[in-house]
Amino acid sequence: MVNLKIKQIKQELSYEILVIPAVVLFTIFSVLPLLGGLFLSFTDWDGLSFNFKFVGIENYINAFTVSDVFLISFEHTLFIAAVTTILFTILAIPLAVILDSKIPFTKFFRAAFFFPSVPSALVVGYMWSFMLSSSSYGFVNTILGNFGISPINWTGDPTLAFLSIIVVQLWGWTGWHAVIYIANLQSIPTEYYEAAKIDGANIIQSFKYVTLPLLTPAMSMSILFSITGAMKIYDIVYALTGGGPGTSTYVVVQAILKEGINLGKYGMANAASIVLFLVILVITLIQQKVMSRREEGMT
Amino acid sequence: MKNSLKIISSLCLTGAILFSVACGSQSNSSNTTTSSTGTQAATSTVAVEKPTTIRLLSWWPQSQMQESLDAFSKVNPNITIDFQFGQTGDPYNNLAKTQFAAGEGPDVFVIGSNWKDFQKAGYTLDIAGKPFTSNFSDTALKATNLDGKQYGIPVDSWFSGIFINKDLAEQAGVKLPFNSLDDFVAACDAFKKIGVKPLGVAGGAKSQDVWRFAYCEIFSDLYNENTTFDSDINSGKTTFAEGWTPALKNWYTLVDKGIYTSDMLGMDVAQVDAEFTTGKVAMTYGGNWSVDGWKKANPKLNITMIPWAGVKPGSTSLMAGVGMSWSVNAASKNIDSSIKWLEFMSTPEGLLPLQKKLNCGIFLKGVKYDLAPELNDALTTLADGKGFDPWAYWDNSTAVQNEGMLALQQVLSGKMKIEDVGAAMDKANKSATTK
Amino acid sequence: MSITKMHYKDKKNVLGYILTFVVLLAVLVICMPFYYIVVNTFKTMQDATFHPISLPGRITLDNYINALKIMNFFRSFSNNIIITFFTVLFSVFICSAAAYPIARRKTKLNSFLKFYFVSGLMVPLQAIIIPLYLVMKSMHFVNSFHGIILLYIGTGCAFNVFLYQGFVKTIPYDIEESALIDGCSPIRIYWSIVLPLMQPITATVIVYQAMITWNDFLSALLFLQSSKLQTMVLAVNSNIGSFATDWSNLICMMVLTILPVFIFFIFMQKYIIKGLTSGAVKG
Repeated sequence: MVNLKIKQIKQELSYEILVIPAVVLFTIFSVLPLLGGLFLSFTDWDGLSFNFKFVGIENYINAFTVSDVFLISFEHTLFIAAVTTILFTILAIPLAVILDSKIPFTKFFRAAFFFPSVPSALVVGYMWSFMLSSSSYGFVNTILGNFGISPINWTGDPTLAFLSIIVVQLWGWTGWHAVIYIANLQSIPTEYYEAAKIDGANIIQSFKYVTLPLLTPAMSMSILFSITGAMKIYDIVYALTGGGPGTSTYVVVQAILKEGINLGKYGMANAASIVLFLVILVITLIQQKVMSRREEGMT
Repeated sequence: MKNSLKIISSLCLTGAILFSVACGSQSNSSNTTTSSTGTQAATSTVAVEKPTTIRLLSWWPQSQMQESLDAFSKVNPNITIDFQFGQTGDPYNNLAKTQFAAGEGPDVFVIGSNWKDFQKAGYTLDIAGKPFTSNFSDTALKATNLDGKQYGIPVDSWFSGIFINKDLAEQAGVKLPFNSLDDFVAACDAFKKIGVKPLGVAGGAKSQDVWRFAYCEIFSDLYNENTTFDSDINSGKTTFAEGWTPALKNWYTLVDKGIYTSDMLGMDVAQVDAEFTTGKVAMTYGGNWSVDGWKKANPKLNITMIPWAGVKPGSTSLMAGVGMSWSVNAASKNIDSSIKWLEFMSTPEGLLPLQKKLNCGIFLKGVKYDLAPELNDALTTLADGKGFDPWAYWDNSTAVQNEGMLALQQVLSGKMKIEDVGAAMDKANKSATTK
Repeated sequence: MSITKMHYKDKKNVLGYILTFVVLLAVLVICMPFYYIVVNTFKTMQDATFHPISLPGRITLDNYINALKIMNFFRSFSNNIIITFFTVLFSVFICSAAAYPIARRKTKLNSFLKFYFVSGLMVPLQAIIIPLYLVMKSMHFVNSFHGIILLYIGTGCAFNVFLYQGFVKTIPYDIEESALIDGCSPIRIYWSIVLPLMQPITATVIVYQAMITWNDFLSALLFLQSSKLQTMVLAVNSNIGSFATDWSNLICMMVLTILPVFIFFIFMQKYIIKGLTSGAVKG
């Protein structure tokens, strides 16, 4: 009996040895800093020499009670995550269907829609802040001016600033998400469509009863990336609105950087980082559970 | 199978070659020696023999620093400078503070109005008594002096106020300079009559110029008479709510009159520059540093800087102060080489190239420098001592300024009342003090 | 066959034409920002200020020439190449190797590992830069190529292992089974059998990882301090001063930064979908 166990373990080890490099590197660069942040979140360290003391969960409480910066930024971030995820799904699926159809130049169109995700967020952000400026030279306002519309304060008005952020995100990533859906579409067996057609389904019904359910894997993946990406968003928001006006478009990462690094409240900021991580974790766990149940329902 | 193996191995070989080349051409940061520090005297006039590399974190982009950097290498060929840059404000502060917090601060860095943050944490080296500090005027050195310890050498004296397009002013019949706030308002009306936007200000969160003229109003109304306000703030004798609210209310009348508009929140410096240099906007906020870029964009631009005028006639003011200072990291492993940079920037050869680019004043005793003619009209106000930069003297400058910026933006977007701005700043001041 | 082809292959092409036209319009709108940026790189600063949207009055290449000089193009470009090349190279091997046992062997450890790696997607890097800096510093990884490459590989594991393990599941087990019976070690099986079969998804991983690494800004800013190690994005950033930016040079630098990725992307874009189609998106 023991011999069998040892043999089993040996066998498992011979497989798991392949995992070691990735686990080591991932742990060092992704997990260790997070644990470091967790540790710091229980202290009152403020960037000085290493004289700090443990303060328990005081930082966690303070982060959300003393000032409303973190609360507001969580609100904003969750809002952006929810809206962009829903809109990505609504827009990317039809786009994927169109780009997978028999119109000519599909390869070119796919590349064109995907391309906005290619340059770095910094460059894209600066580009867009230029174009959306409320100045009369703002690119968008100039075009609108030709239609007789007076300049709009895209990035300076608290509500419109959100709209601008969401539009820029949609511009940048819808094509990226569409690619995931296209891949899934191409793997749907023709027989299903044939069967549906024989049953008398038109294109809308085919879509609803054949395509959509079978897109669950892509949807799961797309939503996962959308949510995790949106919760961590920073560069593009900073470049577009700087978090303003005031704190109207503060996102969590900006608040963490501002309060933590700029204003020296490291303990509190680290607490907020841990909370952010946990929030993302919980949301994605729920999301994955829901989607995998859907997937199981399919098969 | 064999083919793919061949491909992979040749790929690895190429990679290995590339890698070794890359590693070889890296900076020899591992070769920095510490032996030089032991034998050096406090004066750094002895040449540093071994090649060293120092890391310099700058507030000015490479394009403005390059001449000074090149001149330094000529005088100190053994010292290589690794130049790092962070934009004014949050980007610079975040970068500097992150590096320091991790114990990896730069060897030389720029400090500004928030220098006390760095000094309190022990990051700044005390250079009191070093010979090159005597190249500067005492008032300038005071800006980074605390309890007899000297933490930096001044770079620039800056000043800023209203820049006005003289051609448009003539067209609109506006007389300069302004003697009171009413003159300013009248000028705005005159500009509107000829179809020109009177004021352009970069109110976007990344620029935060929205505060500049509010500050000026406060200087005109308060600081011209009250010379102890800042120390009273530090000692708790007075509050922002008490001292600043009347002046802020005066400034707010400009919002009511539609001179300050919420669309300013959607613009950054680049866009305002574009409007100003093309004559779409008659007046804007600017400083000595602005002239160079504006003239490049439109050489025909005919502008001048004039002081702000407050509610009381004759109460003019500007923003002005000692700008940035160079400081050495107290924990640097290359103190002597770092001090060499400070030494060099205490001479005309080091400072003048930067001065030309920034059009700033410098504090080197007896050194003449040129300023762009567009700045002449403001110089008398400066000479009268009416230039202020109070935030450089507050104990909790960063926290208070940060809160103030956010508050005023909220006011402009209608989310906060102007009367509450002072209180918000007081709150930030208090919570920063009780740490 | 796609859903549209199924339903419309017999019908007239009117809908097809309309659709094509609409898509073309959408593409133009999407690519408009790039037009705006690129067109201004060929104008003089005055021209760009006064006429931001129209075609250049007089095409000038001065901005590009200046930009190339200022950003030290050849050095920053080769730095980008070196960093990206090695990151991608090692990511492929390390992540595909890790994905193999995770996908194949249904043990508690492997379910945990799968979750472990995916949770990496939720780590907000910018929020933990100080602990990260401390980690990098303690391992002497700051200001070096090898340091940042390892950082990129480590943080890229989350995404890459996810893609790989999704793909591995779609490979039929028989070949491996017979190899196992013949006495091959798992390492050998991975290297000789599984890895070659993973070419499609490897292509996808290469494209994604290359783009992410090339464009990275924050880690490069923090950890590549020597001027010799600067990447292109850092060069762009070094020259954005809030007080006196030379915008014509700046947008040229931005274009030059985007250009190599753009070209790479054009050549490689078909592999993205191919890799995803061949299995990763089957869940």
